[in-house]
Amino acid sequence: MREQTLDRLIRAGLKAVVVGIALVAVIYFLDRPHKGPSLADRQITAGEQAVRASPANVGLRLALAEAYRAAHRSDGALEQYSAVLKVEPNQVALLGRGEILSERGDLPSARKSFEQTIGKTGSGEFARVNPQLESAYYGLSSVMLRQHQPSQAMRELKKALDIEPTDADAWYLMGTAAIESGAYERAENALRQAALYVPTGWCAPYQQLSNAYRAQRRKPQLEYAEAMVELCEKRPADAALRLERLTAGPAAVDAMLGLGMAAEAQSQRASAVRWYRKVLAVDPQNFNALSGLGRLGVPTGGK
Amino acid sequence: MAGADEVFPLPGEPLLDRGAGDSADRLAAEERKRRRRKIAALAAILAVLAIIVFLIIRALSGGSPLPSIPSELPHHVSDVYGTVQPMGVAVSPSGGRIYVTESEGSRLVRVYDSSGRQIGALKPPGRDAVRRLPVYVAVSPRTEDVYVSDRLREDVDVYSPNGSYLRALRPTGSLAKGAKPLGLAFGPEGQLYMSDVGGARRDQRILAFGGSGTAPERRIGSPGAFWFPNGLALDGKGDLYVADSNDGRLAIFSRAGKLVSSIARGVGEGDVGLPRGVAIDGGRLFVVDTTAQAVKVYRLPGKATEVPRYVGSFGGEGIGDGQFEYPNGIAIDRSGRIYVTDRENGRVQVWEY
Amino acid sequence: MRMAATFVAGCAVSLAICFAVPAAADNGPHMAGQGLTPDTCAICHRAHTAQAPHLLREPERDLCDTCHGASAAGASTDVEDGVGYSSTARTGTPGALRGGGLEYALIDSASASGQQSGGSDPGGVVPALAAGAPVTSTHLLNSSSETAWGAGPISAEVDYGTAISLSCGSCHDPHGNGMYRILRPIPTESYASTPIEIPEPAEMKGDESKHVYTTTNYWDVTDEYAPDLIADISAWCATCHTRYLSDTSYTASGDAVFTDRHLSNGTAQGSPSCIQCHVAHGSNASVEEAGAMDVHSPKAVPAPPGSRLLRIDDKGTCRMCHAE
Repeated sequence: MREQTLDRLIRAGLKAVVVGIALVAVIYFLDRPHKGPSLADRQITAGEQAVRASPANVGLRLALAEAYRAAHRSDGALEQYSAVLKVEPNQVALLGRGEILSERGDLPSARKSFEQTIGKTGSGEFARVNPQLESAYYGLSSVMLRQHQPSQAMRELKKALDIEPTDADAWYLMGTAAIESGAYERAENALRQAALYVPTGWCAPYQQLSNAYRAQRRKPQLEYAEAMVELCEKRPADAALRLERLTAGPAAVDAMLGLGMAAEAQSQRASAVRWYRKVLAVDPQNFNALSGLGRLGVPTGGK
Repeated sequence: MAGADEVFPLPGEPLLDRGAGDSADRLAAEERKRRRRKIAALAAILAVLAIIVFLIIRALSGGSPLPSIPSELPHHVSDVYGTVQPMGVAVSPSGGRIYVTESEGSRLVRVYDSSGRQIGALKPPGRDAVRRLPVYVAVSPRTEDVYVSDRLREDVDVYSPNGSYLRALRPTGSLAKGAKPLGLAFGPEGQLYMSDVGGARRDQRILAFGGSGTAPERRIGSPGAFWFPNGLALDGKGDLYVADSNDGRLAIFSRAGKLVSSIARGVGEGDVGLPRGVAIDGGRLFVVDTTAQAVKVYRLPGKATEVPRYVGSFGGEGIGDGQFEYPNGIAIDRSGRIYVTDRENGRVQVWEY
Repeated sequence: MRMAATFVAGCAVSLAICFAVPAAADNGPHMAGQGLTPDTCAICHRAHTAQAPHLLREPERDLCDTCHGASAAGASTDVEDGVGYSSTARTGTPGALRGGGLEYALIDSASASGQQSGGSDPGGVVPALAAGAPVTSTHLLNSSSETAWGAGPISAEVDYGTAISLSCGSCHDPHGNGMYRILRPIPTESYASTPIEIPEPAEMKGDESKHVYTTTNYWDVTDEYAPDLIADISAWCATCHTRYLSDTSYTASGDAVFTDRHLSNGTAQGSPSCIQCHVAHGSNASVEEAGAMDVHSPKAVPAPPGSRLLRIDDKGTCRMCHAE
């Protein structure tokens, strides 16, 4: 082939490569799905339109505030809550404002908002079942704890738990406050409640439990709590090794339950069933053992 | 005096000696080298062009224009909005049409193009919104007809690819007495499978159809094997994957209909809670776990009797990009794009590798 | 130590009451651990640290809708549309749920027949619709407050009832509790301190064929497998609607609002219990006629819109028993 022909072919080839790359780039970008605004942004746009159309509608403003909060735009949310509160002492707005201020770290103002919510809703026939009031007690106690007032926090949490005794967050906070005020037995009870309602996927109660046991110098229980932290942190084999040593002592039932969960986590289903059955032999109403057997598809009898 | 053999140039004659001959050789050698380099360059350019042509052909025939960096989990790319409480999703083989069932509001099957724009809606004739309830949808790989299960009518509505209503498919025959179709899927040869949630728990089965008739050829599953089976998927070998929803397991059946493996409920990694949608693509199994607010990803094993190996999950609870509030259905198009219905967030999420 | 032990024992006892019988399901996966992974516990039990703001969201209802919502993809009862799919017979078109629905109901409230004049034993018929009609009243299940009419003690001061905020779990125990329709002995929003148990009869247990919640006649409120239902249900409703419970129609209560109350503690079909006149979830009846709301004689109450969960249009419910 002649040199000139080669040169021509190379030049043509290079041009074709450039065009080809450009074509691939165009196809690639055309093929990209169009991202569009997020759900939170859509909700905000729709909410803003609705509020502009009916500015006196409290419900629309509260919904818009929630959309702002979902998009982490707390200024917008505060603005809506303030607009509502100018018109009426709305408990959702008071509570929402308190939560935002608490997140921002403005503890005195947050505390005031929560106290106002409680003042508005804390009495009356159904005070003891009002979920917003429960949230207000929770929020207030969280602020108190951060202001290093654990005893006061515990008092408010008790009121929250009177309304909603299955609130694992409140139990956890109660346990944390109890540790800070040195009431380790109370902390233990509260943290065990939290772990009872949300036994997996949440390591914090077990971590705090280990702090409480460490302060009390109760070695077997400390071992148990630390093993549960390992289980929660997805190290079931390590957790199982520690728990096996505890099946004869004061933390026996807890350890056997933990071993059941560790076995489940390692897909050792037969072993898990055995451990849960051992727990039920000692504590026939143990909810977590019954749950475990239910998960494993084992009939548990009952009434 | 110079020897007789020596040659001396005469005045005016060019210098012709061994050095000049070497230069010519060197020149020729350089020319050859240059030529070889040019040929090599041309070959390289042709190779690059071949790759580009291959990518363009792949893109135009529905694949992704660029190969993706191998990773175990996909990433979120976009969302398709406009459906109220979407439950089921299916994609035409080319990926050009996305079908999404709406279980509240207008209760249509909304049709979107690949950019997320609604291009149409399917609804059975003569039934207003309170008399229909589309739940799951599947597209026939052979005809591209669209099959939609209707919970209220207890049948399957069939539409052509251009959206016109073809017929209502109500399973007949002794195997399908009182069947209530829910999940739908097509096998590698285009056979229809549907999950039947009619009657008591012991009656619930998977119905496998042969040709185009309305009577299923066989029922898969023993009495009590299933408890509200929802999503179905088949791999290239014809093994059937069933989201046995209320039992909290993903059951795997061989082509012959024998239960060979399962992924069970539990607290372990990779265990499922409330599986609903199932899809298979590229050697991977995707299971939508509604109460875990995530899609779980597994590697299909070499042997059907082995449990699929858990790889990871994507999603998580929330309303942000890439988060779910009760996901349900899943579909994957030919370019590997994954569509997941995000029920309470009113959208279909699009994920990619 | 003793206090701690007492405290733990007390918790165990209360948990035993709340979670006593995980295995005794109501025919659905309402057993502890069934249908859910433990991470799901956080949906209800960790409301304060949810991903998204929680003040106006309904995470509980969303969870229940996963099975009992419009598509009924995990249950034979669709409580949003008021539709029941047969859980037993293989054949049969979807039926109408006895409690109505939360968005649509199938009560043919305009077609009541068999009214009696002056009697107290109507053999009436209120048929079911073939397709859903939008509801005009529900036990509202969202985060906003509703008035629990008649809640609270008898009061000489005007008090219509307190604002409460209902969720599915207010009345039903999702963990399963061996009660009829998993009703909580003490609804969580109620004023009660004494549990009102309506145990699921032994012959219903584990038998899908006996858990039939659909009806073709909305005036017949008996459940053949739960014969004590009518006798017990009014006391249960009155855990929230306290001042509505009355053994007689003829004695003034002394309350400023609910002075003259209709008998509501009936014990048999036709003898008015709460559920003789009202449905539990939602009704599509149209009740706009003046005075139709006055059965419990609340004074000075501007008639609010809606059907108050009544089964029949306007004063039709009254006319099932009473002459014009």
